[in-house]
Amino acid sequence: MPTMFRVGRLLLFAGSILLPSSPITFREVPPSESKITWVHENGHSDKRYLPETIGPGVAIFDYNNDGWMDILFVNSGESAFFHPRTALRSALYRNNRDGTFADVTEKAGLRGNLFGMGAAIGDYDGDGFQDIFLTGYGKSMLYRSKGDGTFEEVTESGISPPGWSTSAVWFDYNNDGRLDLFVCQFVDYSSLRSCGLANSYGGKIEGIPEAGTYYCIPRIFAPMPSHLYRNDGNGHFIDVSKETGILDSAGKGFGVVATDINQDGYLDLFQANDTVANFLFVNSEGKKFEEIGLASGVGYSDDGVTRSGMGVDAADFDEDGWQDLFVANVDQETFSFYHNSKDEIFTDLSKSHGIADPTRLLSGWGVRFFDYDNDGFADLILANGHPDDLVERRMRGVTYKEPLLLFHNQGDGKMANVSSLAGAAFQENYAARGLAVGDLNNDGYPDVVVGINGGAPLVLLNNLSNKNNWLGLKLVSTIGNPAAVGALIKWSAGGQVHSRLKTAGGSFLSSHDPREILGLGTGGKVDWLEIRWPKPSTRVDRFTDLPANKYLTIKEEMGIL
Amino acid sequence: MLFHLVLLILALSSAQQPVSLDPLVRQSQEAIQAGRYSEAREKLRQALKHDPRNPVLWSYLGLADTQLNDVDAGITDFQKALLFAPQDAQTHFNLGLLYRRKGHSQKALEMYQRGLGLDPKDAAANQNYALLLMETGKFREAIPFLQKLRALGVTDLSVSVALIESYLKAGMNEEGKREIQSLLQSPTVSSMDQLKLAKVLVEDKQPEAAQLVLEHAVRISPESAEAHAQLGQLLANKDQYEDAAREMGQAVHFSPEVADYSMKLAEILILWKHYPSALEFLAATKNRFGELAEYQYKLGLAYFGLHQVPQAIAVFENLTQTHPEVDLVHFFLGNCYQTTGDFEKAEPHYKRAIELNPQKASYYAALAQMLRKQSKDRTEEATTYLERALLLDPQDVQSKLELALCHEKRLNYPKAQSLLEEVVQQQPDLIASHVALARVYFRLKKKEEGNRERSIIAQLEAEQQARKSQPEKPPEFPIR
Repeated sequence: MPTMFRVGRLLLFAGSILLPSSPITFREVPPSESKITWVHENGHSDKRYLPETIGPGVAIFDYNNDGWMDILFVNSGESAFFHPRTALRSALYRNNRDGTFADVTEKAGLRGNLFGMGAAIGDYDGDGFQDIFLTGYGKSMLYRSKGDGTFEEVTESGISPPGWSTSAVWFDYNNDGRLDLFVCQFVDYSSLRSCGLANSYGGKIEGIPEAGTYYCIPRIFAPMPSHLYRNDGNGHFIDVSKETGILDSAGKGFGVVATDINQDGYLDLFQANDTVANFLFVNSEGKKFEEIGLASGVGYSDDGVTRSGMGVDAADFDEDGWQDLFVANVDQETFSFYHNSKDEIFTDLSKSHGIADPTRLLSGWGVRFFDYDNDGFADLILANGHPDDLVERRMRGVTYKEPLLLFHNQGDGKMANVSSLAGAAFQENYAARGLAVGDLNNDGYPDVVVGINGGAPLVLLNNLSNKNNWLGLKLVSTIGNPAAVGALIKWSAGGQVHSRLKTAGGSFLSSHDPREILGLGTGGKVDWLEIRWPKPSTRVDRFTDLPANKYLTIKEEMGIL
Repeated sequence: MLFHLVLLILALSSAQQPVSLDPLVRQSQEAIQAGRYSEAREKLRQALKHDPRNPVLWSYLGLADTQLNDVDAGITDFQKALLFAPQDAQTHFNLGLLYRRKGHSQKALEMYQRGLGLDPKDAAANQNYALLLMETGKFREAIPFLQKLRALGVTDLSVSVALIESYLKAGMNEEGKREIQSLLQSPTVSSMDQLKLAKVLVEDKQPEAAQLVLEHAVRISPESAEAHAQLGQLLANKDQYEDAAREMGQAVHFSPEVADYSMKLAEILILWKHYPSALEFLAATKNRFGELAEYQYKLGLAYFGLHQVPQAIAVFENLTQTHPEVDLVHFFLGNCYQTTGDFEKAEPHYKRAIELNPQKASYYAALAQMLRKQSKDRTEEATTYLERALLLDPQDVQSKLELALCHEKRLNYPKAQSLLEEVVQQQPDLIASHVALARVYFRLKKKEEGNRERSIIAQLEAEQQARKSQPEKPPEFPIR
């Protein structure tokens, strides 16, 4: 059997496009079944204020530590340009463990009113309970979990990003074992400008009547620097944007992921910017960040032009041991699939690896590398939708609502578009924005939740029945940061070795299930598992004789709990 | 001119020949009149053996040799004639003519100058001298001779045109305009003449003067479709599309059956980027012109301009069937397929366009860009095409940039650097070239140079940002 398996693997590598062995289905769970009745209010107006078209973000996390993933949806609210008649709120849904969810927002104390964008989840105070940072236009909010299913707003945290914040990520930049916070700033939108056709996303096409206003293309607004806040360990944060060099780079940040691109044990940041060059902040020993987007090849397209970077993610998609990067752009730009060529240089393999053509007419937001079929290789999912709700007036072939995309990793980093096999939800079009991946029913197959602008969210349960085995891990650092961000996980199943870096952030305005699901393929079981804990730890733990199809909690220094 | 010469010679000869040469001279005259120039030459050579100092015989011989296309011999003959009759203006003029034919402009000018000193009223000589002066760029000097032609009663339109051109090229714009006005007001100049004048002025690269003429023409003949059309075309060449569309629209209005006007209007609308209007117009004229290749081509361009690429492809594909030899169609079809990412389909069309018109640098550049984007393995091929493009147009910035990107992709950074440094010199505000150059510097570990380029990029982007954040001006005219 193992011999035949190896031959099968060889055939996989040698062949052209291969479809997964059995049909895959993501089943959409309707509100009537999930009991998730929340709907995003985008505050749409005739003035078309730009923030209206950007949200919402989604977070999948276990707010009450019962071992089941809950869901947070971020809503818009009171702002300088939007005054809802009734107070709007974000929504926290507790997982009832039976396929339904209960709205516990009020009970949890999440009453904040802001024109929300996204959510970043992290246990910043190390008490074992996840805290929430909400970004928004003109305001952001930090909620600390009290450990009893409720949250308190922390008003004097020191975290005060000005203006319009979008995606954020909790990660430990200086390896002191505490989660710090990086917050993307978008543009200077203090003018609250509305735009005509000439400054719209699609631009002016002579002869098209200029009825009303259009969402402005971000190109016309000034860029803003993002912010980095250092966790002082006492519940307070210090703005270290200037001293770390983050403030030197003004961008239009939409998405950010923390990952280690040069294997030095310090987490770097990849920030997607809309209409300005993307930033790759390389962490220099936890003291400073050097921005090398241009030099590394991820800042601009190959042709030397900026694109509209939105959602991002990082993963080692070709399993060469180096973290690769992904950026979703807007229509006509194709999305970027950056292969890490080492030496802090990246090459866009979008065309050769199957990404460019399916994404040519799409605008991507939420994105995640994840192994949906547990074959051990990182697949890819994308949530798409054009930012301009009037785009169809001007352009054939580009629509406001767009389909989701699912790509299957062929085992060598090349991606096959398997959307047509992914289920009915993939044949529909949405104004999709945020996307979070998490195992909602603890069956080991990652599910997906998508935020829809101005609509009800999409809950997609992974119904795959290929029966690839898996192993779920909840990692708890004791020396390094509590989320174990930066941990390097290696495992072997059936003789096939995989590795995965535990990154943080990614997607768009969203936060994922913090657990790691390791696909074992048809190998059946884990030959061995190795965890290299994040710095400042130097510990490497190795495990054998592990069960399959189970979640394990592994705590640094203590082993499997 | 030469016929004039012949008559003159005949007239002279009858008075001057000695009795013994008469038969030879008479025979040579007859031969010349009959166009038997070889025979005439023979006779004249024989006659000259007996009377070698006869300027008339030398002139005759010059005529015969010239007619036999032996210009060098003709010059020698007329030089001899001049030797023996140095005050003969016509001989000077003849030499001037022949020197001009040989490209010896200075000598030609001298001859005419001397000849006109002897006979200032020779209209043809004045005209030729003026034209010669114009040919050698001496427009100001030509003016008095052109004016003299007028005084001599030569009122041909071509004289007026030459005078206008000379005024304008000599920088005497007011005089030029006055001449134009005067011409336009002349009752003898028909609107057809005006249009001819305008055409000449356009060909002569005097668009401002041509515009004056045409604007006058449409004023006095507001229903002249041709006048509106010419004016429309001229305005389109100056990128004044709104006015061009108006004028060409008038041409179409007055002569809707003329395909040329309608196609030109469609083209103007497309160049103006008023694609919906172009489509609307083409739809309205479909019954009349829908079968024309030109119509289909414009339709394809309008669709492409509106990003309606599948429709554009359908039109261009059809055109390649009915008119497979039109290079532009293949080129645009290649562009359409490249836009959709279908490089496999784009490639043969680009190659066909090149095959049909190998002199178009832009075809090679477009194909090369597609190949580079398609795969690293094809960058060598792309490089070959770009090198050809640069042979055709060595200064083309886009081809150089594209070639540099190919070198970069093949990790040939020194070559990429060298080309990019040229490009940023040629076009310092092209951000993409600075980006590529910065990348290459960083790859070569030239950090200082890379950071210098980063600063330039930041500056250019800030300027671009400032331009784009200006509040919108409301449209100055209704779009529909």
